[in-house]
Amino acid sequence: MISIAEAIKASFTQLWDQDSEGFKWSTEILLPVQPYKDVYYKMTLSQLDNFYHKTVDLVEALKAAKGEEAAHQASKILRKVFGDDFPLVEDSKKSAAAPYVVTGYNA
Amino acid sequence: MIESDLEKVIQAIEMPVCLSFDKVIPGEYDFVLQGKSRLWNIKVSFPEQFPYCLPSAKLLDTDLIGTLAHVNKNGTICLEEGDSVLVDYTRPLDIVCLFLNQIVSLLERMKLGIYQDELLDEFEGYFLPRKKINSFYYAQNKLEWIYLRQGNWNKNGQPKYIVPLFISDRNVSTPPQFSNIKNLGAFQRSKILHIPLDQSILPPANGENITSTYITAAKQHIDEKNRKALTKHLKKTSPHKLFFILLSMPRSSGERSQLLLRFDAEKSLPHPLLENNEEWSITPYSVKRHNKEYLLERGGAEKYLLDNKVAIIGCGSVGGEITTMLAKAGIGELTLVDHDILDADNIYRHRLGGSYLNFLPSEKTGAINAWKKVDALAAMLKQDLPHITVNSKPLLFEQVINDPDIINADVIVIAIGSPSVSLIINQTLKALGHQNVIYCWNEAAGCGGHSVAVNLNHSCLECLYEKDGRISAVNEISLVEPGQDISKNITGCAGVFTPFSYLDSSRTAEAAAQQAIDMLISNKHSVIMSWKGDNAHNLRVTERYENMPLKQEMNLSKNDQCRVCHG
Repeated sequence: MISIAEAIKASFTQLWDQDSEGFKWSTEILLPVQPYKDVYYKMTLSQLDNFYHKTVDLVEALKAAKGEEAAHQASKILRKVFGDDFPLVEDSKKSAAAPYVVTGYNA
Repeated sequence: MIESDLEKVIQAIEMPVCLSFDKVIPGEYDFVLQGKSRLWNIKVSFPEQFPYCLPSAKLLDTDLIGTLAHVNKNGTICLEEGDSVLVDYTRPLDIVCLFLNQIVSLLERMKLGIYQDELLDEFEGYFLPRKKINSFYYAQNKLEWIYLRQGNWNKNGQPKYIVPLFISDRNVSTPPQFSNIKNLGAFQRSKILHIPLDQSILPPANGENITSTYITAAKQHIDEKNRKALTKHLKKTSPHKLFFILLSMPRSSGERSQLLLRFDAEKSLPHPLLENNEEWSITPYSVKRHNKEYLLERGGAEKYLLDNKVAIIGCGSVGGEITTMLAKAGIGELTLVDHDILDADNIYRHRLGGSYLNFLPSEKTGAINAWKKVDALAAMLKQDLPHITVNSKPLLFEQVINDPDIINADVIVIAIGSPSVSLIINQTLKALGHQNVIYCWNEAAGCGGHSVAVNLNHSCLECLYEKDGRISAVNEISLVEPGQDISKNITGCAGVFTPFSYLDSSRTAEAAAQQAIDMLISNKHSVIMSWKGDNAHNLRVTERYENMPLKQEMNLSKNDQCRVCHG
C-alpha cells in the first residue's frame, strides 16, 4: 500500500498557477484503453494540489503505522486514515491492570 | 503526595522514552522524552492530589505550538482523559510511566499530517481565552452586522473600561423570559461585524498571539460574496479606538469555530479590516453559545425531538415532573392542561417550589392570587430553557378537547391520577381519533407506579379494566388491593390527601417520559412500565406486587371485552 501511495505521489509535478501566483502540484494519468483520457480531467489545479498533499499525508501515516510496534497505536493511525470502519486493536496496556483507565462515569 | 515521596517516584522512572528529567520547582519536572521522530521537551506538573488524579503536561517546544492538534496555545497537552478516569493511587510510578508513554504517543501521532484537521477543528480550544462572551447568535457562512451589548465600568479610578456582554442576531429576537436576559436592555447596544471565513485556518505560529497581520492574512479566506458585503459594510465605519469583530470558520462537524476579537488602540484608527496596523492590541473572547442547535446537542437533548409536540393533561406531581423531563429531553413544544393552582401543600412533592407561591396582594384587587400550576410550569421552563414553546391551558380537559394544541399533539400524556376521569378521557380521545396516548399514575403510599403507552387503534386504557362486562378495580397490573383506608387527613375533611412522595412521582414520571420519547422516536406502544416501591404502610398488596422485580415491562394487548375498542 505504501508503494502504491508513493507511486501516486511520484506521478505529481509542479505547475505554475496564475490565480494564486504560486506553484501547485498536478498529475495526469491516462486511461490505459481508448479514449486514453486523463482520469483526473475534471479536477481543478487546486483540487489536484489538495490531492497531492493528502497523498503525502497518507504516505507519512502509512509509514508511521508500519513503524509502530504497538498494534493499538498503529490501528489508531489507520483508523484516522480509513475511518471508523477500520478495526481498532485493543490496547494491551489499557487492560484492567492499567494504573489508570477511562470509565465514562459521570454525575 | 508529599514532595519527597514524589521525588522518589520520579527517580525510580526507568523507561526507554524517558531520557532525562529536571526538577524545576516542587511538583514540577521537565522531561526530555524520546519519540520515534524527535525528542520532546515536556513539563509535567503534579497536583497535590496526585496520585489520586493524573498529572498535567505542557509542551516546551514552542516552535511546534500551533502545529499540533491537542496542544493549546499555552502548550498544554490534552490527553482526552476527562473526569471519568479511575486512577490506581497505589501505583504512582506506573501512573507516571504510562502517562509519559501516552504523551509521547499522542505527540508522535499529532505530528502526522492526517491529524491537521483536528487542529483546525479545535481553533477555539487552542486559544481557550479566559474572557468569555455570551451569545445567542448562530454563526453561519454569512457576513453581516450583529448586535453586541456592552457595559462601561470604572475600576479603581481608572478610565471607563468597556466590557462586551452579549452577542445576538439582528433579525432573530432572543427569548425575553430566559434567565435574566431582559435586563440586558439597560446596556448599550452596538453593531459589530461577523466575519465568516470559508475555510479553517491554522492559529498563529509558535504559540503567538493574534495580530493585525494575522487577521489581514485571514481575510483572503472570505468568499467572494462575503467579500463584497464586507467592502460595502466597511465604508460605513469611521476610525475608532475600539472595535469588535466576531470571527468564525467552518469545522468538520456542524458548528463553526468562533472567537470574538477585541481591537484596542491608543488613538483612533480605521477599522482593523480596512488596513493592517500593528498598533492594535487584540484580545480574544471565547463565545458561550446559547443557540438552539448547540445547546441541545451539548446538553444531551435530542435535536430531532425539537419538532415534536406533546400535551400533558394533569400537571400535578407526576405531570409536572414529566413536563420538565420532556422539556430537558428537547421536545420543542409542550401543551400543559390543568386548572389547579399551586398551593403550599404541594411544594414537597411538586417540581414547582416556593418561588411560585405568592404572598403579595394584587395591586388592582388586593386579592392574593395563586399561580396556576400550568402557568408556573410554563414560566419556569421558559426561564430555564431558551428554545422551547410552552402553551399553558389552566382549564379542565373537556374545555380543551377542540384546542388546536391538543388536536395537533404527537403524544398526549394523561397524568391526572383519578382512574375514573382517566377512563372518560380515554373514551373521549378514542372518539376524537387520537392515537398516541400515555396514561400514568402512582399506586398508593409509594408502593409503585405505572405508565401505559397505547396506540388507540390497537388497545386502550379500558382494556386493562374490563372484566366480565364490568369495570374491575383490580387489574393485571395492580400492586395494591383496592378498598383500603389509604387517605390521610391532617386538618379535617378539606385536608384529605393520599400519601405519596416526590420520589414516587419522579419514578412514574421517568417511565412516562421515556415512553413518550420511545413513541416519538420509534412508535413504540402497547407497553406497560411498572415500578415497585416499599410497602412501608403495610397495605394489602396483590400477587403481582409480591412477585414482580423492582421494575417490569409488560405488553398490553387488546381486551376482547373492551367496549371502547370495540365501539
